[in-house]
Amino acid sequence: MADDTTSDETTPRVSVLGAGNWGTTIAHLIGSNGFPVTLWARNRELAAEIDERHQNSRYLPGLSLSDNIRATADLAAAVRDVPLLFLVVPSQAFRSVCEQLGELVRPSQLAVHATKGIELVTYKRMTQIVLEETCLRQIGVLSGPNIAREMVEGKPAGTVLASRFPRVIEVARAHLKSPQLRVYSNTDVVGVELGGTLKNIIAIAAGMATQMDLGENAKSLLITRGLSEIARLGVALGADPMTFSGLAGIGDLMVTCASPISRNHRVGAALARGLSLAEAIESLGMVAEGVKACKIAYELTTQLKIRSPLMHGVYRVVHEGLDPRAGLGELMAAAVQDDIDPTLVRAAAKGA
Amino acid sequence: MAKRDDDDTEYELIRSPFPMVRKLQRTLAPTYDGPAYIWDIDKTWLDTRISQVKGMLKIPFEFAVDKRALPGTTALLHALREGPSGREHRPLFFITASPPFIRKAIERKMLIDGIEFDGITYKDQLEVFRRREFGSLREHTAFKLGALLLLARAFPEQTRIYMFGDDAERDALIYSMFADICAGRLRGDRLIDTQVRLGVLRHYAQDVATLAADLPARERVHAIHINLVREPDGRRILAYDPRVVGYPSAGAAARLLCERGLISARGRDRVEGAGEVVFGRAAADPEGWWTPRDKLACSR
Amino acid sequence: MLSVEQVAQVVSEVTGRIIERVSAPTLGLQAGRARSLAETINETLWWEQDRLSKADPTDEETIADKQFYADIRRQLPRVSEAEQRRLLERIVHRYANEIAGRFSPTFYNLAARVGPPMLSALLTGLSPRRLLERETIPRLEQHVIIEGEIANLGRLRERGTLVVTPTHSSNLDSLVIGFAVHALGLPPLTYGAGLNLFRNPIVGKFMHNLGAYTVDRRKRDPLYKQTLKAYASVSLEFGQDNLFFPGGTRSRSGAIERTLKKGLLGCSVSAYRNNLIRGRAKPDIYVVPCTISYPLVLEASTLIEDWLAEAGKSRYIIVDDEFSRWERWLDFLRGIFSLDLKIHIRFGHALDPFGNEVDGDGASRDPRGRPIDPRGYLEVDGELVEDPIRDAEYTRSLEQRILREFSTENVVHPTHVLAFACFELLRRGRPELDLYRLLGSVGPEQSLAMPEVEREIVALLDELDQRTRADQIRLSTVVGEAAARAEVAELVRAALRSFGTYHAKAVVERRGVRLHVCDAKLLFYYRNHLDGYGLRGAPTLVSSIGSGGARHG
Repeated sequence: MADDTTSDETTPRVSVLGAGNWGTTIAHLIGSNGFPVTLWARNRELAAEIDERHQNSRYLPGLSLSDNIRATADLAAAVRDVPLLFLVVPSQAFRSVCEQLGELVRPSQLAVHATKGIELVTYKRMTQIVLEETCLRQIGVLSGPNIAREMVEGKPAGTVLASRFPRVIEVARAHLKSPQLRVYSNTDVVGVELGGTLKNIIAIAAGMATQMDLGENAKSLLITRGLSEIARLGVALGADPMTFSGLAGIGDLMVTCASPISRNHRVGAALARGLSLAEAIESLGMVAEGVKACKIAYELTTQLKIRSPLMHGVYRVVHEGLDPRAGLGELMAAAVQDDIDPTLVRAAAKGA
Repeated sequence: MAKRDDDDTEYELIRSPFPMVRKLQRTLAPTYDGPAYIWDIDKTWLDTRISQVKGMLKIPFEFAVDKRALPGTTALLHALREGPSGREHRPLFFITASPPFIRKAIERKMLIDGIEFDGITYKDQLEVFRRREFGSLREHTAFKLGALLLLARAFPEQTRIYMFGDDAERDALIYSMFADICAGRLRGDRLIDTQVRLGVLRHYAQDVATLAADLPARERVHAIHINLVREPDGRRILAYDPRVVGYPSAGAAARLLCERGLISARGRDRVEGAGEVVFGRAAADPEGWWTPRDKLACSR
Repeated sequence: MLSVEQVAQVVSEVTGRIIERVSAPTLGLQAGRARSLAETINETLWWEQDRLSKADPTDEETIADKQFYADIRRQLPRVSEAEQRRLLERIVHRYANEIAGRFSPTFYNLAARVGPPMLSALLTGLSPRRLLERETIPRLEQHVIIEGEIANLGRLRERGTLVVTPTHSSNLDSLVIGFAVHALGLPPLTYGAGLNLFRNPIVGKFMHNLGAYTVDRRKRDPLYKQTLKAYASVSLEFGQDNLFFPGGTRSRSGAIERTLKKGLLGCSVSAYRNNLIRGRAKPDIYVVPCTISYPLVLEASTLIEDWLAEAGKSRYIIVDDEFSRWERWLDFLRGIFSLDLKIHIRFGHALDPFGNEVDGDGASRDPRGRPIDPRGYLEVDGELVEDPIRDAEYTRSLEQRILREFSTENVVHPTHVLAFACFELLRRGRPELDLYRLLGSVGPEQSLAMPEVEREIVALLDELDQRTRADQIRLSTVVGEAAARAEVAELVRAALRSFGTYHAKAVVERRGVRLHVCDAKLLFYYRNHLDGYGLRGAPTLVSSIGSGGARHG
């Protein structure tokens, strides 16, 4: 209450934690909507550059960021008493940031993460990590077909905000929505998180298909069968099958498979050119989420006894050195199942 | 012989060589050559006063939990059943002169105490009563020999029999006679006459001898253990040879059985009871007789 | 405990709240239009008439109810809106009054002091010889073991209001908890007891006086359910410690709850919020999960029959079960005493209404143990805000947290181990059969070799031991010792003893060196206590289905 009376138009009521290309983009979108926003960067120089020159030359070179962004390397300053937090840190650094957050946050704060990935070893989703490390409860996830570059260029797009708490969606949407960005809501947090993670595996396959010049029919086959596998695993993990027919499912999958600039796509293409995983990663300069995701998906589907030939094929190419052409041969020769998986039909009927 | 009891199909109604009711729940493999334990119940395991009419009437109306086991004997039975490895299920059979109408109470007590038996034979006192053979109500020789012989017939030949009774009645004598019957030393007229001398009706004695005649001669009994409830100093067994052991407490018996490799040290340690066992002091008989000569009817 | 005057206050507060809610224009909205008071009243009339038409027409209460509703029906068409409000008030007030218990502190103290020794004496009396021989008289406290997080309960009770949430497997539960609460020196708890218990010939007379309020499960009127929930909520706000069975009904399958009824559970967050809004001195509500684990369950036969009959829902109220028959009580209690069985009550971590653990001083802790102020969960910009969807979500977290406590504080008895091992062997032996056929195929003529069962138990104990070390489940003394030494003989003896003495026919019976399953359904029931843990690679057979009725998917 005391805080409330002292706040004015220029005190940021929202912070974005993580100044990679997607975190910076979110901060820019919020700033462009006229809201003061704090952007936290782990790196002090990067924070200084953004704060003073409104540039993020490492992740979004050449782009002029919104004036409403205040950047800092002081996590406490970015978190304390800020009603809404966006967490946009890489999945494998997510827990360590949450550990620090735990010391700073309070029960009244809202948090939305926009990190696509699952924690290695534990198989935990990002919202699960938040719940394990902090007192935050009113949390959600932002996911969808959102190529950062296109968004900062002002091109139209849609995204999904999922939370079990209507107020989280309401407050986050108020900051994000604009004539350029449609923000859809969903209560299926699990489905939205998984859709954003698992599509990366299919994107690697799409990269290979492109490189091998298999044609558009093959790509469509890949995408739809891939989606079916994603949905099967998702449902087994508690997701609503309908979520995968939305922006965070098929929507995200399509853009990832179509865009040759996505990291996962490029890893797939490099592997199909005959490079090893290490070489592919080196040529890329960064790790693609799909590389980790296919390992996790492989282990999970094996554990849960879920049929997923496509994801297994990608896993074997990426981690076991299987030749992509041999993998393709196996896939095409495998027994043909129903177009629409009966388990999904049942799950959808139950949800209805 | 093996007619079925009406109310409970698990029990066999046996009329010869003596009226008895029996439940047998285990068939040993023909190659079995390990030990089998045969126990008396009253005063060997349970602290009952069955030999008094008053006590006999009282038992059926008691709750199973009220029956008291003699100190340490339940643990001793567990130890014997589990064997030296602690994981076996060594054969265990009971023969009791208690009437079958108290079987519910007795078997419930066994369930509560966790006594895992493989068979139990009751003396069919009602039938004896119906036959108006009142002298045979209190005299158990023919019943016990008969029940033992039926068991011995059911056992594989190599089974080693260990027997447990008490000194309140004639257990030491009856068990010794059984050992000699098995070995082929005590059979025919001498067996009949010895029984008759002990008060057995001649027709029962004859039936026992007939049954004995069929049993291949073999040393089957390896030891006889007598709980010293009457004379703790063991004077009632001194006339027997050293294969007959008297024990003043279950603990004393457990120490001996552990020494002889029949129970584990852990099993022994769970059995309470002080004192030392007493061995029979008769000189070893050159022919191997267990039964003291003076108890036998005149020799051939 | 509330005084008579306070109970009257609670009733009037409940009535006021319900009337306010029903007549509020925004909350009365349904399908886009405001519902009139008359519609609400008509709905009640419809439900109640439906119920009364099935009731015994000679029953005094039924006659009184019929008269009451006839009167309402007669007046309804002729009265003004204000008068309608008064009619509705009469209905709700009547519901609330019926729900309210008639607690007598004097009676409670007497019963709590005299009850256990009387029970002991009664049991001793069954065996005249024991009494004559002046042996140690069995005492209830030796057979009810209270353990777990009990050290702070007294302090928490002073700082706030307790909601004790146990697992529910028997109608004895409320009595056992009553005993435990008294033994811990805590004041009595109030709880909703099914009307069938009040009518029970054995305990019915005591129920009202022992702090219970009435839940009539036959009344399906939504207004009644609202009143019931408001009653629990308001009594909490009045500082009355409550007992909720969050599973809603006794576990039919024998498994511990894997899902809870959120309705009543949600009272904890709403009471906390109302306490804050009203600025009450001690606003905190502490939810205390606990498990009650019986080696034998009084009503096991009826419960599992019900589960198997897939009638969990339709036969929601079982009136004619073991609980209403004296001889089963005596058998059961005699079993408990004579077999030296222990009923375990294990208290888990105390929680706030959001599912956070609270420390000994009642302060909420975040998942990493840092103190937090839970008030913030209800605030927007520092103001307390009502938000039912948000609070339902908090209640869901609370549910998950309670379920976790149930799972980890569940105590395993020898009966559960033996039943699980036998069932697993039977199931593996006939992998082609579904559950119902499997149960149908098992008769006393089939048997399992003891050595085989013992090997299975050794392997099971090994897994249980690991899970106990990881604080995922708890073992009773006998099971714990067996696990520590990998010796199963004593455990098997204990289980056979229990299985052979209480139930009409032995669940499992030893014959020679073989175990015969004489009651496959009860074997399944006791086995289910370990369902859902994934022990021995066994599939989850009932836990995902919930507490009532089998659903085939």
